[in-house]
Amino acid sequence: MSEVISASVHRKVKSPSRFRFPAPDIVTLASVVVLVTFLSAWEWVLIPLLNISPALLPKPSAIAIALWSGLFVGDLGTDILITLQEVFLGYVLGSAIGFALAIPVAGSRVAERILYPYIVALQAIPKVAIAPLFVIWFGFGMTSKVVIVALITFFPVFVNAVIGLRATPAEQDELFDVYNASAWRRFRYLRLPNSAPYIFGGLNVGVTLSVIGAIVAEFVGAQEGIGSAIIRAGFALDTAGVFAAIAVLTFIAATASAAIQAIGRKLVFWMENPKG
Amino acid sequence: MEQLESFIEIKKASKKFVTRSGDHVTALTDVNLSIDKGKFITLVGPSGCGKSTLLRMVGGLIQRSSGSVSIGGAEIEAPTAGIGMVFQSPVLLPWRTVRQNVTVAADIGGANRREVDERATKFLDMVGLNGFEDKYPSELSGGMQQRVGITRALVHDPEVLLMDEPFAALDAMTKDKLQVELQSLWMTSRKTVIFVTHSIQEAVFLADRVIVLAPRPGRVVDDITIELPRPRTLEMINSREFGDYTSAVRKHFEAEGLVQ
Ligand SMILES: Nc1ncnc2c1ncn2[C@@H]1O[C@H](COP(=O)(O)OP(=O)(O)O)[C@@H](O)[C@H]1O
Ligand SMILES: [Mg+2]
Repeated sequence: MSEVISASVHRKVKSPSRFRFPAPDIVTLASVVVLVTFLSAWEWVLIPLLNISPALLPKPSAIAIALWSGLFVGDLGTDILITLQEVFLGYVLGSAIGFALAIPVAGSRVAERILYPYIVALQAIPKVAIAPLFVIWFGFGMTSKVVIVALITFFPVFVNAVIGLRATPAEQDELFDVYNASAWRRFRYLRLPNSAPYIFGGLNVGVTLSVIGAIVAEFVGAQEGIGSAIIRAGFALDTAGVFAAIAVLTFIAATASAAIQAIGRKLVFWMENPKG
Repeated sequence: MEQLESFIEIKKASKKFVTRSGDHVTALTDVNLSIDKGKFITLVGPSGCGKSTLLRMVGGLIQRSSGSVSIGGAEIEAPTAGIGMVFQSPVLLPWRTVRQNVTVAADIGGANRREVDERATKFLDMVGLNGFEDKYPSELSGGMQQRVGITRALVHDPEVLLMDEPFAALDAMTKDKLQVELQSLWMTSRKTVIFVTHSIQEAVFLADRVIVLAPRPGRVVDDITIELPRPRTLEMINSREFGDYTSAVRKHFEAEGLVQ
C-alpha cells in the first residue's frame, strides 16, 4: 500500500509535456466499443464455445437479470444502503481522525516521536485478521463495520496529511514571518492549503480501501450488506447473484472515487492551472 | 557629545552561522551603516557575501550574533509592521487571486483591512495590474508576478522596503522596465529602500548610495553616493558618469578576482 500512497502524492507534480488525449467523444466511443465487444464475446463466444456451466461463470445477460431481480424483487437494495452507510460513516470517521492526528505529528517532532511508532504498528496489523475481534467487541451490526472501515481509511489520509502539512515552501513561511503571523494563521492560510493536494491523494486511496473494508467486515459476520449478499448468493450457488453484487460494488467504489477526485479538482484548482 | 542618529542604524553587526556539520561560517562581520529616511540604498556584491543576511537582519528575520540594528530609534529583534519585504521569487500563494495575494497582510492580522484594500487598488493601478486583480498567479508572466510581490510589500504602508534581488530571475527587458517602474514608485512614496542585487548596473541605476560588500568574511568595502539626477532613464546607463560609477564598483570585485 505504501506504493499507492506515494503514487497518490506524486500525482501533484505537473509534467510539462503531458500526454494529450484526442477529442473526448472519440475516446468515450472507443471505450464503449471495447466494453460492448468484451461483453458480447463473453455472452456469445466464450460461454457457448467452451460450454461453461452457469454455476461457474454466468452470461452477462444472466448477471443483468440477477441484478434486476435483486434490486426490485430481492433485498439487494437494502444491502446496498447498509453498505453505503457503513462506508460513508467509516470513511468520514477514519479520514477525520487521520487528519486530526496528522496535525500534531506534522507540527511537532516530539509528537511525531511519541505517536508515529504506534500508528505504524497499528498499520502493520492486518485488518482482515483482527476483523473478527471487532465483531466480538461491537457485535454483528453496523458499528463493527464502521470501525473497521475507519481503521482502514485512517492510514492513507493520515500519512498524506502529515506529508502535506509539512509541504509548505520555506519562502512562504518567511513571508509569514515578515507579518509576524501566529501559528493559527500559518495553519489556516499556509499549511492547510498546501496540504490539500496531498490530503485529496490520501482521501482518494482511502475511498477505495473503505469499500474493501466494509465488504471484509461483512464477510466476517453480518446479516445485511453487499458483502453478506455475496456470501448468501455463494452458499446458494447463485453465481449470477455474486457477480451482480460485485458489479454493484465496483460501481460504488468507482463512483465514490470519481466524486472525491472531482471535489479535489474543484477545491485544489490551482494544481490544475497550467502555467502561462 | 552624542551624534545624531540616522533612521536606520547598523552598528558592529555580525552574523555567524553554524552549519549542519558543525562548522562556523562568518556570513557578516562588523558592519556599520547609517541610512537616512527616504533613501534608496543598494547592496551589491558577489554571491555569498552576506547581502541576504544583512537584509534579513534589518528586517528582524534572523537574529544577529552581535552588534545592533535599529530603525527609527527602536532596536530590531523581530519583524515589525514597519517592514515590507520583496523576495527573489515572488512567493505568491497560488490559491489566491492577485488581489487576495496583495492583501494577505489583512488576513494575517495587524493591517487594517479597509486601508489595505484602498492602497491595493492604488498600487495595482500604479504598476499596471488593473484588470488582473481576479487572475491567479499562474496566469501571470514572471514580471507581473514580481509586480504583485512588490505591491504586496507596499500595501500595509511600511516605512522600510527590503528587496532581495527581486529582478534577478527576470529577463533583461522586463528587468529594465521594472527598474524604471520601481524608481517612479519610490519617487512617489519615498519609502526607505534597501535593495540587494549582484548586478552592478542595477545597483548604480537605482541607488542614492551603493554599498559594496565583499565575501569571506562578508563585510562592507565601499559606500558610493550616486549623484545622477532623477528620474533616471535607461539612456543614462550609456553616459560617462554612469560608467564612472560602475567602474568604481567593479574595481572592488576585480581586486578580489570576482569580476562577473
Ligand atoms: N542558514 C544558514 N546556515 C548556514 N550558513 C548560511 C545560512 N545562510 C547563509 N549562510 C552562509 O552565509 C553566507 C552569506 O550568505 P547570504 O547572505 O545568503 O549571501 P548572499 O545573499 O550575498 O548571496 C554564505 O556563505 C552562506 O553559505
Ligand atoms: Mg542572497
